[in-house]
Amino acid sequence: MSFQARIKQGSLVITAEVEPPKGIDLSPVEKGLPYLRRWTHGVSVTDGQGAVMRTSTLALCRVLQEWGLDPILQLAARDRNRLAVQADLLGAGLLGIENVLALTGDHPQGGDHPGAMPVYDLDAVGILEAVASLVQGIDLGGASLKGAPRLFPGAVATPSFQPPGLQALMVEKKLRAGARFFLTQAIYERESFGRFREAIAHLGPVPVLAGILPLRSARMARFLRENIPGIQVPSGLIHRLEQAEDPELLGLMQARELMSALWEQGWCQGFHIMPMGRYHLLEAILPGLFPTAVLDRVGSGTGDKGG
Amino acid sequence: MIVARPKEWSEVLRQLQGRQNVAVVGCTYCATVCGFGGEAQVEQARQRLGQAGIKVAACHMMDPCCVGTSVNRGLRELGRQGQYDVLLSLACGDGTQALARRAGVPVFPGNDTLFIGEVHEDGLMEEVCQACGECRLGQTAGICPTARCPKRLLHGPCGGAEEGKCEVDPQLPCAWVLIYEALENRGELHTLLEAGGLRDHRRGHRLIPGPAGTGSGEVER
Repeated sequence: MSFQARIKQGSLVITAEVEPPKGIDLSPVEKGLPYLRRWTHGVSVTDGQGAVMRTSTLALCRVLQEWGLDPILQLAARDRNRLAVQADLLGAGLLGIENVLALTGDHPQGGDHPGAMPVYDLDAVGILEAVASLVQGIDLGGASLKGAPRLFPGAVATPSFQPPGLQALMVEKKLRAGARFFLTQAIYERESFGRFREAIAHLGPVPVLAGILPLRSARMARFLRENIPGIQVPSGLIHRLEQAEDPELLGLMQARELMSALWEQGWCQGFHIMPMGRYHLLEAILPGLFPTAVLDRVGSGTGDKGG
Repeated sequence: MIVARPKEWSEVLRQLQGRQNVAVVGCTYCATVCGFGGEAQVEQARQRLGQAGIKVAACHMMDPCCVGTSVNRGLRELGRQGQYDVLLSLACGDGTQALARRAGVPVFPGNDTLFIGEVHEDGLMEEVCQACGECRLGQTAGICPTARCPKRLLHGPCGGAEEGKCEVDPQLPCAWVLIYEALENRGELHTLLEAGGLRDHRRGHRLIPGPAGTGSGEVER
């Protein structure tokens, strides 16, 4: 069953993040294919994550689609004006890539081309509005399209954002603009996620996939906390990683415990795992967490590409 | 207020390499208030040019440098002081262009013009307006997200702010958090749900008629 169908029917959804390479060597992704096929329902392909220049997201989505995965095209407002955003959305439609994740995007100042022009002609909400218009066969300039794309838009949420009321308001705006699912920034605390769920409770059922980025070391945790916007790692966890004999194992256990807790609370429809290129981690984190029938994936080995 | 900062002196000298008979021009408005082109800076530039072996033929404070009639008057005054072959402008980018349009000699900037901003009580200068031509301050509690959010977001914040500070500069408050707090205090949060829309970028090279009297003759002071 496709990512889209699972979101719509409320089934557990596991997605993994795939980063396009800086260059055109796809062999690291290729090595990860067995894990991605076995353990995910969709792969979310980043778009210049951290404002670091990488290969075209749309191109990699196409390749992953050919490899039997169900890609989610991340589209950042940072690099495109409204013409380019719509062109890429139509391009996705043309290729049969329906899942689109609308992002504002990290500012170029923090990336590897820090003097680049920050475009942001639209923002995440603006991209969702563009999707809503294009699927109706009309562009943002009001002109009719010859052939409207089929698209399934989603957006991101930052559960640790303060104040929570403002984040809830952004979720509401994104829902109104057409978002059908949400992926969250990586989280490490069940409490702040609970506050986020509480803040959006009045919006009714919102399909949220909680972001999981397994920590490898205290150094990595500090790096994420200090350098990645929207990620907050509690000091207590960093301390535990420092003391741990096997910090990588601790990171995996922490991720599993958090996922179990969120799942038991019914706070999310699934998980968005960010293995940072270490796709084998999927097989370290996921086994045994959910009944096989719920996961509907284990051992299938081939990746059932749905429509 | 137009806010600028002085160029590195070495860059000023590089621009003036091989030149003599320089006239140094300041401005009595923003450049004086913000201290990048007031009398003190003009005098300092005069001395430093002298030390570098560049002859300074004249100095003048335009009153101000962004009004054509004042610039014409100031250029006549410079001419009375002596023959100059090149101008060093300590005005803003607007003032420098007003000089370049009228002086008939090459004009070089002594400053990098940064933004339209506010001078706080403690002297801090903060960018607050980008002259976008579509003022939305009525919907955003008088806080401009175009000027004060580095991503110029119109619908609300990105996810990058932490503890109310911007992902781009932790010294900078997130404009959208400020807007949210101000509207929450007023009980007007509903306006945030409506905030957004498309920006109209048709704003390049604008010319509009001014108030009667500013376009001809001398400005009365």
